[in-house]
Amino acid sequence: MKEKNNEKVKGSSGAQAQGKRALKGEAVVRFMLDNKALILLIVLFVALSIASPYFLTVRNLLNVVRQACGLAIMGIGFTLLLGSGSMDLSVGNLMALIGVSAALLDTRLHAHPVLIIVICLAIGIAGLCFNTFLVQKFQLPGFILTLATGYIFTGIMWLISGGQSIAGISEWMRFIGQGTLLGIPFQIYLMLLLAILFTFLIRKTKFGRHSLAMGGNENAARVCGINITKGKFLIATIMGACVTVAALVTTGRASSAQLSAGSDTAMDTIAAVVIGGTPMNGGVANVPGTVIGCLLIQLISNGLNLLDVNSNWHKIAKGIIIIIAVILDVQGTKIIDRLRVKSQEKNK
Amino acid sequence: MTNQVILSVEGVSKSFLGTKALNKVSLEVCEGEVHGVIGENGAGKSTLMNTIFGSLQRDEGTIRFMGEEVNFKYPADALKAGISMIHQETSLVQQFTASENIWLGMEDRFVKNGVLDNGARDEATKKLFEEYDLSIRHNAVVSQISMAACQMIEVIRAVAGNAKLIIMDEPTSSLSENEVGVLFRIIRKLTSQGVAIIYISHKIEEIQEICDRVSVYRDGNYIGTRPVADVDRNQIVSMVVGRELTSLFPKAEAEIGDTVLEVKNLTRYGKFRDVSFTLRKGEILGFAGLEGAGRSEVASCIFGIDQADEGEILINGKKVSIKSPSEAVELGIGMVTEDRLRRGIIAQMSVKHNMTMARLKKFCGKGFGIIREREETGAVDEMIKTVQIKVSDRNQRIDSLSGGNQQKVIIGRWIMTTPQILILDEPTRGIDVGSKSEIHRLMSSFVQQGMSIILISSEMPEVLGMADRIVVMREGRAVFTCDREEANQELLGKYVLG
Ligand SMILES: Nc1ncnc2c1ncn2[C@@H]1O[C@H](COP(=O)(O)OP(=O)(O)OP(=O)(O)O)[C@@H](O)[C@H]1O
Ligand SMILES: [Mg+2]
Repeated sequence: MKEKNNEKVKGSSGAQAQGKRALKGEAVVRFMLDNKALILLIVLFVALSIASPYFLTVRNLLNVVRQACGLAIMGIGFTLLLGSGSMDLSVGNLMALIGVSAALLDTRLHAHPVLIIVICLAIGIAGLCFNTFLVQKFQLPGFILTLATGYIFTGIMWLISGGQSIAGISEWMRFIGQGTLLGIPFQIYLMLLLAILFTFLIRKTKFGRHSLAMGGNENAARVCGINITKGKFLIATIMGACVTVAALVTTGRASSAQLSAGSDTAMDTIAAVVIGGTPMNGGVANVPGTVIGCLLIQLISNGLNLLDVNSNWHKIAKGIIIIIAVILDVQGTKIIDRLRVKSQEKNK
Repeated sequence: MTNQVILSVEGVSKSFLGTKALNKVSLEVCEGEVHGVIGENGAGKSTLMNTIFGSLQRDEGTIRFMGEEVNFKYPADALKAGISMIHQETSLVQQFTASENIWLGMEDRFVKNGVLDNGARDEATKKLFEEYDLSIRHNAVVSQISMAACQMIEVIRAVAGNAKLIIMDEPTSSLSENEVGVLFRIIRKLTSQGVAIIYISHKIEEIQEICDRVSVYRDGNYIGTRPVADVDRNQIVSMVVGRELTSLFPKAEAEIGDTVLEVKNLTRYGKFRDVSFTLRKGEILGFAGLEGAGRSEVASCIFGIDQADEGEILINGKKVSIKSPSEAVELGIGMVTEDRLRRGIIAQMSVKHNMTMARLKKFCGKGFGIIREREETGAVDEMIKTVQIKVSDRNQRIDSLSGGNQQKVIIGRWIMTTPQILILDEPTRGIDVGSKSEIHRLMSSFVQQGMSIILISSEMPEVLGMADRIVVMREGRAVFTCDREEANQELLGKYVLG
């Protein structure tokens, strides 16, 4: 009887190999679901190329990428933050505060650029670390806490700005948001640099692996000997730097510090990150996905602009894309299952 | 036992991306029968049950329940038809009371004039608890009761739903011997009323005690069904593993050296008091006792998950104060925790990433901590072979592995750190007989290389078979210590129960 059993097992591994071949089509579907933002982007790109003659021009495309940069720089940091299990709704408010601070230091005090950048970095890092400190110390839900600190950041911004946007910033700050290097906008270099750096950090380093572990299961990560508090503060520091860069890019692009600069930023960032394939509940981080998510959001606005659609529709379109992305995210596995059962029925 | 067939499964297959989990398997269960299901980790037992219960859709094959062909799309359909399932991992709502959990989804019965009558519901719960002789309070919040009590609540929920067939997926993996007795009493009562039970377990003694017939699966294939009375233990084992198993407890002589860990009067208020023991180089120190006796809590304090209130811990003769697991890891301690879901696996991450999580430093260069991918992959592949994990791809998500295989990944994670002291809290829970013997063999070879092991286990034979010395804990105190030679089942049993 024993030998018979062994035969059966061997037979099964053959069957498994056969199964694998049949599953190749499935792998394609899986790839598409994993990269749904990319697929949506391509579909939209092709549709717009057909619909509008102005779309497929170097100028317009560069414009789209440039406009997506500020959001992408924020989003890249946010991907790491979300992947490590944190949530921060105050990043937009903090970004506006930094923008105003930079402009004030520049226009009123005529401070040296290096000094301004250092002070801005300090504000960004301090803001994020303040949030992290409260969350860790009192075990608060980040969602609520950062909603509260967001109000505080905005309040400070109104106090120091006196309620007016600040124009007349120096050449160097405008360069960050408007300048070009070898014909390509400077901020695109910044964004690409950060994207590559963060992808590397998350995929290839101990720090990245530990961050995701923290986000996936904090208890398990702690048992593995990971220092959670240290990790959270390190991530807050990195995110603080990203917020600062995003603030300088946004301020430079507008040639002035706008008080409303950060109002939609947190929500737009979360949307782009989630569309890009980083789930809300941590443990996974997809940086290239985030960049594509940002491009997608920008492409919608750009396309609707070119087609002369009322700007109120932009928000509706954005909402619909987010819904589609989330449905694909949650139902992905089920969709594959259905497809397989159907194809098997067909084969009979 | 009547011979009326209540469930018959024929030619059912199910594949996941890259794995064929079930390959044309069958199963037949009769009314009033306890039908054992056994097989190696990853054999497809849970998958088969999930396809019967409607949580998964089968690729092919037929399932008949009470004479009719059925095709449940959702578990709700199966429940309505009279099939209930107790999952391998508990599925109770943690914030709800026992009573609320039991009647979840069946509240309709207690609705009067459109309003839920909580009193009547609680009365019904109390009556059920009385009928089955359980001492659980109906208004106890689930998150605050023991895992054993949770398991009983799940059973009672199935009973309350008037199920004709109850599927139990490893119901005893977190129960102590007494509680298993309680469960068996409930099962016998149910079968006398004609209810059929499918009973999945890796413990052959349990199958022999409670089951009428047993079906064996291996590698997604159906191997066969036997009346339990006709086969002995060894025959079941060889059907499961496909070969003769030499020994379940391959204990090898190891050289016992100096004391590496000394615990003096360790106390954590409300958990345990005045616990003292020593652990020597090359020694396996067993901890016996009931669930809740304080064994895991002592281990948690040594590993820095919790802090002790009083007492001392000395490592290699030096007093240490361990405030976090990261400090414990630095001191050369490793720990396989008891609660795999909460403190073990990181569900979203791959098998590989889970396995190297505690030892990532080893694969990193100095400075920026860049991981040497190839070295990591090599070590993972080697460990997958050593602890015999059934995976289709090292990069697959850990939560797509079978329960037992997830456990093996966690064991591999800590073996990889080559600790000086390894704490194993219920390491072979949910692991099949073949792999169990392999893990025991590994333990033996590690202590031979100079490691020291603390083994916490609710399975008396495991402690007796593997430990050099045994500490018995009861109600937060270390009540008895003895050497391997003196120990036997009765002696320990006396101290375990008090
Ligand atoms: N969602 C999934 N995706 C991919 N593979 C899966 C998934 N679920 C299960 N599998 C695979 O199917 C096989 C059977 O798993 P199953 O959980 O049924 O085993 P089991 O017999 O219950 O084992 P155990 O005794 O460890 O609980 C395993 O190889 C497992 O890796
Ligand atoms: Mg299982």
